[in-house]
This record gives sequence, structure tokens and C-alpha cells, in this order.
Amino acid sequence: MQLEFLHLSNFKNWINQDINLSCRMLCLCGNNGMGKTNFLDAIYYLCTGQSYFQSQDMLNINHHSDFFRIEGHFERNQTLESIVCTYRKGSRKQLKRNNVLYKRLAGHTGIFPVVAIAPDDMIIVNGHSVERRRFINFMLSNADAAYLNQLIAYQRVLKHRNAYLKDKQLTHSAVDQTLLDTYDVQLIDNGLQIFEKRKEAIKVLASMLMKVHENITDSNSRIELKLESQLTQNDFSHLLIDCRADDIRLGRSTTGIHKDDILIFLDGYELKKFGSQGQKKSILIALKLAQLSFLELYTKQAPLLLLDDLFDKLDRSRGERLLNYICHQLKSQVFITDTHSRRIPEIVHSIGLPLQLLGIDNGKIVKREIIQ
Amino acid sequence: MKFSSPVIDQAVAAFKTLPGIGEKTALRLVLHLLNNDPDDVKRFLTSIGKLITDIQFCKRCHNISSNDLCNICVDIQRNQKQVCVVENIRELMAIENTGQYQGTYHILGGLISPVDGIGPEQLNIDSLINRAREFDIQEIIMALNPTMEGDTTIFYISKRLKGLAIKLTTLARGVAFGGELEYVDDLTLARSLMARLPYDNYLSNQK
Ligand SMILES: [Zn+2]
Repeated sequence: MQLEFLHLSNFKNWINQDINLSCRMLCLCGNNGMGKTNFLDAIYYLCTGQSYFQSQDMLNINHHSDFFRIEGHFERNQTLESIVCTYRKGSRKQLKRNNVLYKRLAGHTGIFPVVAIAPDDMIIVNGHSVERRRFINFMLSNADAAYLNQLIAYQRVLKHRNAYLKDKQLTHSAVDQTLLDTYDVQLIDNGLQIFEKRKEAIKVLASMLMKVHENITDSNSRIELKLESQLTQNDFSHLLIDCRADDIRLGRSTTGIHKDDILIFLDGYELKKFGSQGQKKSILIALKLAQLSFLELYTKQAPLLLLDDLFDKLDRSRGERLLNYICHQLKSQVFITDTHSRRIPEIVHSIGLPLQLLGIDNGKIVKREIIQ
Repeated sequence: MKFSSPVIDQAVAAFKTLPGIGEKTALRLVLHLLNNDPDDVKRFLTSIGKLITDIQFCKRCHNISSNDLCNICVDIQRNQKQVCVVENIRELMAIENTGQYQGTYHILGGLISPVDGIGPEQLNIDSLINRAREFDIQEIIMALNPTMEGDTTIFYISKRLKGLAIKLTTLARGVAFGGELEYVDDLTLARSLMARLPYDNYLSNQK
């Protein structure tokens, strides 16, 4: 799968730009604040219908306009496909594939897989468990449409159950145990399948992670992933019965797969607590690249790879190793941003792949060059 | 928008409370009434007023009715042992329009949805359970929309009915069931009524 053409209108500081993309490797260079990251985010919108940076659609409209429009032409399975994402203030965001409007954004999930790595992603390693659930949910939703539906259903049941418990707590009124029984069955129904799929996915991901990490660092450290879930030790229906009194007292649901976490161990030590900054950075990158391999395995498409500010994370020698891995081991089309205009082209040139260099200044492409 | 007279302001505001009516349409309707023959306007208002004075809800099934019990609940030609549970009156009308159903109804008044402030106690569920007990009901057909809230409501009612010898069925979902019940065409609806499934099957069909 490859993006061959991109059009941006009023997307952040990109007023009106058409660009043909002709290489597997692309480097976007320019000073900070010129629009490199927005360019990557526009591609992310085409693949997912959403911003990578979880910003509101509204905030991505150029200040002087009341809409944005992104159009991309992809080569996918030897067919040319167009994706258009438009958002107008006060209207619903629209996503069209080959001129057909999607009824639900979820319908687009996993068809044009993408993986992005940006400086703020360190939060996946350092942050609260919700960040790692988001990571695994993104991955599994793209790989398995049924997972996405189960997750949506689970979250909806959970929202109702919590709203019900909260209301009963605030009004000090009696709880209808039969209704809680009903919600519990619905939680178990979806929750167990989500749990099993997460468990299985983490096994596959862990072996991919080991291989990638060995490739992009020099170390042969042992990395393990572990799904930490209340469901590992206990039967979900027993958990719900045991926690019911607490749930009623606290006015929320205290047990279930919405409490899951993924723990990362480096040579037996928990990375979040004991890892150095450097170890965390390389494991984060390896984790994202393992995610990419996972998506490729299940979607049968080489996902696009968006690397924002690569050298924020790595010194030159680590960057070279990483690019070597990307060029040789992956089939993905890769978009890399850098403030230096020569650094990445030099490395890719020495690896021997052609690269398209795009010079970016203030929401415009001011230079385009193909380096063979 | 502010209008020259507070009377007009109030009338426009009143029309705006109706579904699908915005400010412009409301003003158009108000001006239309102003230009009409006053007697016509009075007749119009009387017919609306009768909604409050002359219409009540059936004590058994919560259908609109002019008496304590509605026409369907007093009709001895209809199978009074068969109850079709619907969300609201519009869906009752949709099923009546098929002409294929000869049982009675029970209007819930919504689906269980705590996020919207609707728990089981806000709906006509207790009256359904009591009715099932008192009137020796033999079959309850759950004709609710196939949403998560619909599933919750069906499942909840099935739990409340446990222990009673009642056949519980749902509309067949396999029949092209295009989203909301009230928009399904008569033929499709009639077909899914005929091809209804025992509730146990329904659960396992979802998988
Ligand atoms: Zn009645």
C-alpha cells in the first residue's frame, strides 16, 4: 500500500497544496512550526478518520477558514483508491472511500493501516494504564473488526452500568439487582472475548517485539510483555459478583477488562519503574514497529509508517540502525520528519534506497527532490 | 430573533418545542395562523386541546385510548393471551399497519438507558410482569429495536419473567431488518413477525 498523491486545503497551516509522492521513503524537512507534523497528521486522518494527536477536528481548521479537506490517492492491492476527509464547522466529519461516504468511521478501521511514532508517545511507556489499553485497542481494532464491535459494545454497557450505579448512589435509592445481572451478562459476553483476544495478541506481539528490538539495538536483552488483568486469575462472573457491593457503594464498576494493563519487562525488571530513558525510547520504537508487523500480518497490507521528529529519540548511530531495519526488513512506505535537510537523505542514500525529499516552509512545499 | 410583540415571541417559542421545527418555520406557522379565519384557528386549537382532555392511556397496555381500556384490549376477536412488547406507540402503529398481527400489545415507553436517565422503573415493565401473571399470558413477543439498549431491555424482561410458563419470542433478525423498527416496510415487518424466534435461539444467533 502506498500513498501516491496528497491534497490539503485549510488543514492547519496548509492552505492549498497538491503533492505527488513517488518514493517508498520520504523525508519532510523544515524548521519547527512550519507544518511537518500537520502533514503527517493529515495522512493519519486519511487512514483512520481521526487525528493522531487526539486534537479536536475543529482545531485542525485553518484560522481563516471554516472547513478543512484532505484527499489522498492510494495504490492498494494494485488498485488506485481515493480517500477524502472533510470537516466543516458545525457539520459532521465526512470520510469517503472512492466517493462512497462511510456511515460509521469504524467501517474504515483496518483497511488503510498506519502506525505513527511521535515524541509524546513516551507516555505509552511512562503513563497510566489507559495509554497502553489505547495502544492494544488500536492494534486489535485494526486487525479484527469483530474486536472493535465487542469493544464498542462493552464500553457502552459499562457506561450504562456506571450511569445507573452513580444515579442510585446520588439518590440513595435501591438498586435493581436484576438490571445489574443483565448488564453483567452483557459485560461478560463481550469482556471475555476481548480478554482472550488481548491475551493472544500480546503473545504474538511479544515475539515480534523481541526480534525488532534485537535488530534496532545491539543488545540481546530479554523483553517480555504481560497482560495484567483481573481476569487472569479469576472468573469474570465471580469477579462481578464479588465486586458488586463495592460497585454499589462507590457508584462505578470496579472490575473488568477496562482495568487491564500491559506490563513491559526488560531482563526481568519492569521497564516503567526501572528502565533508563534510553532503554525506554528504544523499546517504545520497537513496540511500535512490532505493532506494524502485527498489523501487516492481520490486515495483509504493509501499514504506512509516520515518524515524527525521529532524532528526538535517537542519536545518529541508533538512527542509522533503525533506518537500516526499516529499509531492509519492512515493505512499508515511510514518512520521516527532520529539522536537518541532509541527515536522513544521507543515511538512506548510503543504504541504497531512493528517497523523496520535501522541503517544507510555512505550510508549503518549497523544494522537491528525488535522491537516487 | 426578537419579534415586535411578546405574544408572537411566545407563540414562536411554543412551536419551536415541536420536533423538527426551527425558528423560521415556527414564525411561518405563527404568521399563517394570524392570517387565517379566527374560527379555523379555534377549531385547530380545540383539536389540539382534546389531546389532553379526551385522550388517556390504556390502563392495561398503555396504548392511547378514549376509555380505561383501549380498543385492542377490549377486542374479543383478538388473542388476549398474546402480547407484543413495543417501545412506543409509533411502533404499535407500524405493526398494526401490517394487518398480520391478531394479539395485543404492551407499550414500554422507551428502552432501558441509564445514560439518558431511564431505568426499569421509568418504563412500563412492572405492569407487564403483573399483566403476564394475572392474565395467564401465553406468549410475549419482544418487538424492540436491535440496539444494545434493546438487547438489555429484552434480557432484563426475560429475567423478570423467569418462573412463569410463558413463551418468549423476538422478531427474526435474519429478515432484512433495516435499523429502526418504525422505518421497516410493512412486508418486512410482517415477515419478521411471522418468523419470530424463541428467545434462547435469539441469544445464540447473536454470536
Ligand atoms: Zn390496551
